[in-house]
Amino acid sequence: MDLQPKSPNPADWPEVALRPAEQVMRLERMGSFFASRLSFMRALTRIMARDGWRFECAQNALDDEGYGHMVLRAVAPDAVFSLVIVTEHLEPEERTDRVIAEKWDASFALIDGDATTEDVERLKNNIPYQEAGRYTARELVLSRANKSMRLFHYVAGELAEGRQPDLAELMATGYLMRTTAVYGNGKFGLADFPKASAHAALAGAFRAEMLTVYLIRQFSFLLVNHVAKAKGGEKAVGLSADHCRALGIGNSTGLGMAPFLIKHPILIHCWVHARETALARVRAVAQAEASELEHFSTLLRRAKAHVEQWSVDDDIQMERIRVLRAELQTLLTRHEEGDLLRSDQPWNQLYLSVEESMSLEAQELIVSLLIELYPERVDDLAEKMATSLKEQSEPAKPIGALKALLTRQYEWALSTDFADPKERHYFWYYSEGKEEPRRGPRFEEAGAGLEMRLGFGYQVHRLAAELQRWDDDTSIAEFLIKRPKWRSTVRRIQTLQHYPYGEIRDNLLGLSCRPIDLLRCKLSFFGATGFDPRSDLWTRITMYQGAPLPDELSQSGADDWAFPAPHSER
Amino acid sequence: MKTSFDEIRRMSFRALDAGHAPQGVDEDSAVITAWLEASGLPGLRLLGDALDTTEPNKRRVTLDPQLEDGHAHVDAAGASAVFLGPGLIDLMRCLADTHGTGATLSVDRLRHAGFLIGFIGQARELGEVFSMSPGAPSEAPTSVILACDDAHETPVWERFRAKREQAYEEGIEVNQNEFDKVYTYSRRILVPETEQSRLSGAGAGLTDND
Repeated sequence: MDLQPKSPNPADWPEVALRPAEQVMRLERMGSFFASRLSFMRALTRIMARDGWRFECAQNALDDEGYGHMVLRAVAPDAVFSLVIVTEHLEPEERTDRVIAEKWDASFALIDGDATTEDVERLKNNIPYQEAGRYTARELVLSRANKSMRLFHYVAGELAEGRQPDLAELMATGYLMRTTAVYGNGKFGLADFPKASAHAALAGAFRAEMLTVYLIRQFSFLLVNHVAKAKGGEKAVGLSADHCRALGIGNSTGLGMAPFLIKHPILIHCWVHARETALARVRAVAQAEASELEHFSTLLRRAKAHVEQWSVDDDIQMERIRVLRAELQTLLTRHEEGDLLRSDQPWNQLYLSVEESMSLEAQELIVSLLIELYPERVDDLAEKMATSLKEQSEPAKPIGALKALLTRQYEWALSTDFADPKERHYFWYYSEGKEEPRRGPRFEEAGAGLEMRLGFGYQVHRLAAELQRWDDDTSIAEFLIKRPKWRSTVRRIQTLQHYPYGEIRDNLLGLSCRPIDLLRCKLSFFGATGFDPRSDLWTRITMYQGAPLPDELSQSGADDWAFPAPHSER
Repeated sequence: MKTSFDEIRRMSFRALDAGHAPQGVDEDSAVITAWLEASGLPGLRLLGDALDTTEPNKRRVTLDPQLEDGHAHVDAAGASAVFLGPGLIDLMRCLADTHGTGATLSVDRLRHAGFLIGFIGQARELGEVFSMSPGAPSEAPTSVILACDDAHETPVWERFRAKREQAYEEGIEVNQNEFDKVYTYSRRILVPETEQSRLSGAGAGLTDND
């Protein structure tokens, strides 16, 4: 029995302190985050369910091989969104998931409203060229995807023969198509974020992008069914709902995603602060009710099954998965023996126990699992994960206050020895090759003079040395008008004193930095699973695996799709 | 041609970054370029001209303001507001903080003075009421006076705001030549392609047919 007052106001609930930013905002921990019910995909499907969205295929102009165009509609209470899709034949040597690609199996644009004939014709002449096309404020999102060749052809072949494909095979790959970029927010002339967010349903972070991906997933089912029907005729069957649900949509992601986390610190603070607040609210639960304990048991078993089927080629990640599997088995055994949860503050005790004795992967999985248990305590936080706030300097403040901030917040940077070449080993840059984001060794490759600004720790280190020459009473305004090159650094430091989760406390230029940690962090907030590193700079993931299909959104239990696993127990 | 606020901002930032504008000045002036264009003012033209006509070593301008009883004076010596604007608006914030309404900042020999309209407009959105006179959106050096004001909405600011709202809804119509000029500058931030970079810089292979 939960003895806490049932006040709807979170401010009335008992509190457990949030985990400090110094603990959370470390690359290794961020690189262990899991999707949670606050993730953007989960939040969007809840909104679509709540508001009774409808989905339909408005146009299907695909030929027997699946080439042509299609238009899908998503109908919200106060808006219509249309996904215009163009598919074309691709030679194997043209199929690459990288930014440098010039052609794709399918390309997409999400339109605000119904797609007119003129829209479709215009987009057919632009979206297959992606970055080289031009777009208008009618388009919210631009994307493209390639087939998972082996799985797509296997599934189409089985369906054509009148058979459902093997479910385990579907789960193992996780998707029929994988996106290789999802662009929004004004790129290439697309609508700016304020236009998309004017729709209540799309006001959250990356909502328009997540809607696009959900529709692409649905398209991948329609496409494989279409191809199978053309091939098998009367004999063909459609992919069953259970099989569709087992599939998400894949994504290949590289370095382009990493700078976002550095360039949008207030937004990142909002994301992490919401997640940490959710954890603290659950840890504060005095006693768990029987139904909550039962739900925990279900989720723990499902999480174990999820991790059991998670297998990757990357040696480092695979070793982490092996450790996690053993740790989850330990937790499950202890739980079955009645030795895991105490009666007082069971979740806080569980979290502290895992934090003390288990890997970061286990710790962060438990965070997501605990958050899952209490929708009524945490779901409001999903609406606090977007912000229009900008970094703001305080020019009237004295330099002495800035020095104090540095000492208080940036010990991690001030204590780094940047004279050691290893600490400045890499530079990040945009290449002339289709502006692909890349990383190279600073002392071996040309181009470091054009590097992106991701070495904030190094900047802080140098600023601290510069400030030693200035009087504490001098105003920031005077300092910056005489030393304008510090403007960005000073503004960030002054801003982030109010947003502690906005700063990653690690050196991104150093030899030991693994950008893959940044990618996993961001992708976990999207709601991605099946994290599959292909190198330190590149990963594949799955989105919406296990998610309800359009006609299932409003069904009871539809939101219960955390930790997708074979034959998920709901 | 039509474009978006963020496309102008991102392109302008890259042009300024590649053009050795001080870090932070590039960020601020990129936003102001987009703000001006969205408001129907020639942000791209002023930015393009500033990049055309300002030697790289003159883009990191330092100033020595003369302060006296709520009034400050700066001799810009022909520098562009594209590069000086962020520092000047900081000075105004300081003056507002210490002296309030009536404080002024006079700036002599400032080029692209009209660029300051964007900084003042953006400050107004944050509740900081500054005004500027006379200063036109021209390239020639001129003198302007910035003042801490107590007036709020005026028809001209209201018109700019309405224009920006329309820009978000319909896109921003810009001059193609002015856009192309800044785009060309923005390309200078890209690192030339090499085989090593292509093969190892992104950490991925060249084909994905699995």
